[in-house]
Amino acid sequence: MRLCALVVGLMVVAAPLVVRAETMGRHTLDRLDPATAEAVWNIAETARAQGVPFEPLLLTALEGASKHAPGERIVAAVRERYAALAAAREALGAESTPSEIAAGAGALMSGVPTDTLARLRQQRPKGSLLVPLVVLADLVTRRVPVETASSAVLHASRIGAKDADLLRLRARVESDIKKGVSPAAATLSRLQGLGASLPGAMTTGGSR
Amino acid sequence: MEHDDDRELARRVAETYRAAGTGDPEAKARLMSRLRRGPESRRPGFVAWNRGERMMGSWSPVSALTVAAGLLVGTALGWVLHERLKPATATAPLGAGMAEAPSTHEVRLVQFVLTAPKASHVTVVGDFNEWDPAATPMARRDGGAWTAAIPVAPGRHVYAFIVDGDRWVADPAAPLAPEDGFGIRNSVIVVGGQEST
Repeated sequence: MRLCALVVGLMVVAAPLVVRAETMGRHTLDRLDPATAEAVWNIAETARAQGVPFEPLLLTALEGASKHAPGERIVAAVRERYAALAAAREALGAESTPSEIAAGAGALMSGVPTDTLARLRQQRPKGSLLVPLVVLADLVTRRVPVETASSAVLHASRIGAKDADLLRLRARVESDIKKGVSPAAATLSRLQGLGASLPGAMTTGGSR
Repeated sequence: MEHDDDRELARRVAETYRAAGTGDPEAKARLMSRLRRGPESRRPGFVAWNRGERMMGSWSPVSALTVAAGLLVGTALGWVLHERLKPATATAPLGAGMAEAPSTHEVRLVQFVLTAPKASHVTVVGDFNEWDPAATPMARRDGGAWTAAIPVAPGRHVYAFIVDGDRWVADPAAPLAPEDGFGIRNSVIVVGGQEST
């Protein structure tokens, strides 16, 4: 009998853990006021129904709560994120991972056109676009002109740059900018250096 | 309880045997042998269970079903935890926002570092801890560095540091996330996902 009670007790304790490990649900919005939580949850439900990742929406709301943003601002931020996620999913393809879509949404929100996302996907139909999208958004955030940043990442991807190369490019551009080089010049200069270091750059054409 | 039954049985057999006065020496030897090892064979536990002795017979169907259900739940829980929290086998470079990781499927232990010599309290917040300022306080190290190691799932994550409870700071060693509508810049970390060409 005691054993039965123990087993039942374990089941009671374990079940919520299993559920919590699997899903991020309405309960995560408990830190918001009820009206804001309701509005955010409705947007998340819409996103889920359309195959758009909804966890980033809940996390945006929680971020706003931690930053003590008012409810209407939180809902506006969530709406904006939802629009960006939906657009990124459309540009990158429905098969893209939630992380890729989130990174794509970040790039769109920093001003990158959807066309650039679609072209990146064409260049890497199977490989992950996570790092290229993060680097692209970072460059634009650091005031590299959108056209320059887009061209740079597309070009780097075309000549066979790996994720590590892109991350190095980003770090060097950042370093140059801190030294006073203009963002566009830093990007073009470092891109040239990257092209020279890649063995595939000479044979892929159009890179020099 | 079973031990008491055994002893009672042995006592009765012994009395019966003594009452008979004499007996077959072989039967006496068998009886004494049985009495000597009797209690040992009834010891509850895995060995007795394995021998197919009375252990299972004393269980009701409800008990057996309950245990089976418990085992199922335990297995499921173990599987989920195994998948979600595979041993954190790699640590990102100190101070680096971008964690180098050879696999894209395992949770990684990422070490966050912020140099803030004058701070008295620093926490790291991000989508990996649901932006909870109380979830991940950082530890002060020599030279004014603050560190925290957190298991992070593969993917893109946004985060920031909170210094002394109210000052939000982006990681100077990581890419910046785009403006998020709240007026405070975050940083981005990519865990895994560096396998592509």
